[in-house]
Amino acid sequence: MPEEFKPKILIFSTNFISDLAIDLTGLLHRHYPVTTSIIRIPCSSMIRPDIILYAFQCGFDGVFVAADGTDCPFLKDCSDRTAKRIAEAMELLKKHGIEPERLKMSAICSVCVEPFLKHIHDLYEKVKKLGPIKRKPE
Amino acid sequence: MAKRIGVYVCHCGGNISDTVDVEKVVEAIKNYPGVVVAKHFMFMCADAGQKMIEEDIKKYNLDGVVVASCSPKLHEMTFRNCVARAGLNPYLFYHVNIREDVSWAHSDNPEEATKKAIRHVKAGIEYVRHAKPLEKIKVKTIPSVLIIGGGIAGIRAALDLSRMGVNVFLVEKSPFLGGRTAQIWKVFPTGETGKEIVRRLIEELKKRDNIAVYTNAEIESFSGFLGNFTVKIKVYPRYIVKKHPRITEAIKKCPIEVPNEFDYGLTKRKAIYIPYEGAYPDLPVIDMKHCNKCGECVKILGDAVDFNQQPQTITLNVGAVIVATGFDAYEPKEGEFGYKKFQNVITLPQFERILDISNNEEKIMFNGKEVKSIAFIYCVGSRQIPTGPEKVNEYCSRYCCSVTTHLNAELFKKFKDLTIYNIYRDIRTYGKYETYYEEAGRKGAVFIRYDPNDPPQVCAEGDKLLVTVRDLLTNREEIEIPVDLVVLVTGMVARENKKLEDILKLPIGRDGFYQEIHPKLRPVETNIAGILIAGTCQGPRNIQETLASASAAAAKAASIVLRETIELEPLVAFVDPSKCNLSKLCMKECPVNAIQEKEYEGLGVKAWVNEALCIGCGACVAVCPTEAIQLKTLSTDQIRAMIKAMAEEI
Repeated sequence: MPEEFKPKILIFSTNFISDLAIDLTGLLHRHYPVTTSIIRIPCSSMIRPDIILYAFQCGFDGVFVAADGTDCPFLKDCSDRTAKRIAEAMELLKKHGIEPERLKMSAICSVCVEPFLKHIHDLYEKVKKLGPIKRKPE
Repeated sequence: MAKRIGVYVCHCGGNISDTVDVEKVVEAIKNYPGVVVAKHFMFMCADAGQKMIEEDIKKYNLDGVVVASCSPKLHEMTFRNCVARAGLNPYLFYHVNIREDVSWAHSDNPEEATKKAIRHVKAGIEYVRHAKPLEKIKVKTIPSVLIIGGGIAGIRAALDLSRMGVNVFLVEKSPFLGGRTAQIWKVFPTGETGKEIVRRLIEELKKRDNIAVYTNAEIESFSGFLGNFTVKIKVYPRYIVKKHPRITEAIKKCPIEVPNEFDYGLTKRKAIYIPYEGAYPDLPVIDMKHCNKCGECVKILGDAVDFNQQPQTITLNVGAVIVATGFDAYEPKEGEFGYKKFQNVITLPQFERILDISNNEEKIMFNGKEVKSIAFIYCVGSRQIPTGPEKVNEYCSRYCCSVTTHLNAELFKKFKDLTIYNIYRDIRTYGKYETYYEEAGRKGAVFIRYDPNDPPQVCAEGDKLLVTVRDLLTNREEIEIPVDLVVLVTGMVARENKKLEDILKLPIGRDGFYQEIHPKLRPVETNIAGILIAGTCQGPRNIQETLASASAAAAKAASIVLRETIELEPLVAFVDPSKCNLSKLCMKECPVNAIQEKEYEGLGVKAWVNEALCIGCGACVAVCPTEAIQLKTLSTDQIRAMIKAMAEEI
């Protein structure tokens, strides 16, 4: 029997907002898929679409952007800006034959433990259904 | 580029190493490119751990350090400083979180958690490999502090800050200062009334000229950073605009009567009221929810009453904020130990009010009858045992055993021929409060221990109450106790304050109280830099502990605002002019117009970041077509290297 597919998910968290929620999730000993990796960034608006593509090219099966949302300490319109970057990234993924559903962005406030758990589980299940990315041999 | 990197993996005394195989982590990365030394240690944050890192930096001539331990919110600064002490630039360091993000989140899967830890550590090494030395940025601080909550914690903190020369804005939601302490009959260990404690604090407050008090006020909005916050508050009208000698007469004339919240509904108050004599500010308030504007008070007070008074919005600039919003008393459910089913079942806070109101009487009177026997039932609303998915208060409220045993002694002192039964689960009169327990017993109080799985039953018998309890101290013998009054020793619960929590984004712990950043090491700080917590909003505690935490929060706030400048992380963008093709996309994207054009010698006109204006969001980074603009603390090269390292199979 082939080994069960366990998607590798890259999470971008933000130093002042969403990373606090992810910290709190751990503090409360709440579990989520262990095949996740987390990179902290100052603000979700800084994510370059090509970086997201790069993550998939490196071997990640899904990317979750835990955005600042309306709590962003930097930008009032952080959600709009980040959403724009994500939309661009989705176009880029399509061009490279990667399903855009593998990328998810959602605002996670600093105490949003439940929303974080829900989103990460949902994305994990969705990517699991999609299966591994059909990568062309280089 | 760092070529000599040291990696340090912390056990956190088992918090990490019980799940993550730290030896395996060290084994996996010790031959990773650039790593010259890799170690694991029981407590990396302890002196010995830090010393080890410092010595290694010198011994191995390290040019980069990675520490894998708890959340960076806890110890990133600790290790940055440690690295700096050894002479290494503190930004050639990366803090990897393998506790909250790994061992605690994945305690269900140690093998995979270890792999995740290795991935995170590798990414940390990649960060450091591409890190550059940086200097901190200095910003001016505002020497004022906002205190939210005008109970004893808020007032204590205000006084401490005021004495240190810090301007204070004290904002209280209700129309009067003093909070719950003023409701207490007698406080331990001094036997003073709660009002006396409040009065003495207020007397001091009146003498200070650098404390601005806003009662009937709420926080409307909040923005900014440590050292420089902007807060909008809304001050609601009092409708009484000045003092008047016939205030008491006007209050008497008011025809509206509503339950008095200060006495937990045991008495009535008027629509125009002062909760108790000596309350501050010394000016009544009109409760517009109930006032029918009949004009009776206007006939007496004239232009001291102004029904047209409007709410006012005030903008405050402060360097730090102390939240001291207090607690709510646990309200028993209907029928819980007969509460609300029988009139003479009351809560401890209500009993305190009865004793305070009838302080001059020689008997305890309740509903026109003398009370000669009392049963206290302990742990009501505290240490609840979960029976289903519904959240219960599993914590101990901490103050109630001491208060009630002290109350036993005070009651015996004042009233003759009183019989007191203490029906308890465990007596937790910790520290020196143990003497109250001894004293209560010595004076004749009866102690009966109940099993929480078989709690006492309260039913009526004539005009008395009958408490039936199986006493654990006499082999579960069933005892029936007829009493005049049952007092439920209710605990503290987190106060309903959703609006404030949403505005400030306060971190909330498992029990609903506000959460400190570290219970031992940083007990009054929150994970929002510049927001401190004090008193019972953080968890149940007595007056002494409340005031101690208030003074601690005041000292912490002063340590922020009394420095003329504070150093901030060099979280700003910069331009590599050799890569810039002047697309100007960054300038359009920048929310604060921090990017301008500048002539670079030999390179022509390129983009340039004004560091004083840059807020470090990185929005510009996302749009640059040539990756010429980067954040100093996190370049796209660093992110790519981290991604690549994390994606590798282990």
